[in-house]
Amino acid sequence: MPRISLCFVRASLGYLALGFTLGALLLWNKGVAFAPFVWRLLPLHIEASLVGWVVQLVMGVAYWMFPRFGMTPA
Amino acid sequence: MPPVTRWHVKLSLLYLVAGLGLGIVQVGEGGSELFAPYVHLLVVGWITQMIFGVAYWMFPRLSKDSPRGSNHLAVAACVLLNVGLLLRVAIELLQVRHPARLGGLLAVSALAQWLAGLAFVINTWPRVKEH
Repeated sequence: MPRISLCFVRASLGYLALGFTLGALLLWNKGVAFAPFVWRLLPLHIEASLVGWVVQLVMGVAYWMFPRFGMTPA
Repeated sequence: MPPVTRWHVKLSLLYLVAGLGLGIVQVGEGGSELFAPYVHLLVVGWITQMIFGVAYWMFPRLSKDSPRGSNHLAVAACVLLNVGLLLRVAIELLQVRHPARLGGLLAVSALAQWLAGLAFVINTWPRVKEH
């Protein structure tokens, strides 16, 4: 795996942890309300989960796995 | 393809169909209560679950003895993710008719999905390496 993919994929795993933690707080608060301010974290949950986790992982894996420039087909 | 990957991929395809179906129902109903289960069926059930399965299968090997890391953690991530998501969707659909019931089970669902994410990150992190 090239170094740039390593950075993308490790960062995406960090955002997965962040997105899931925020999502768990939001869902817990929806079921058993404990702090109204938790709802303010919703945009951060969406951004961390979609851009930070999914998009960043796709970018990292695409850079690693897609055919390279300058390679002649076999 | 390892068995855990097969479960993840097959389940993710089922969630895709369920999510698109709920999307149609949601448009017909015009209600916002179905939006959260609809989005989570697609983003967690389909996309995230497909990534969990394919990453476990295709990411660089950890070692010769344990090429994919812990199989127990991978199974735990799969079970917890699906139990948590199904619980969430079932309760939120139930709450359309009976609001504010079974809220405690939403907390259980939150914990299950969070643990699934944690198990996946712990198992996958050491496999993300240059060589």
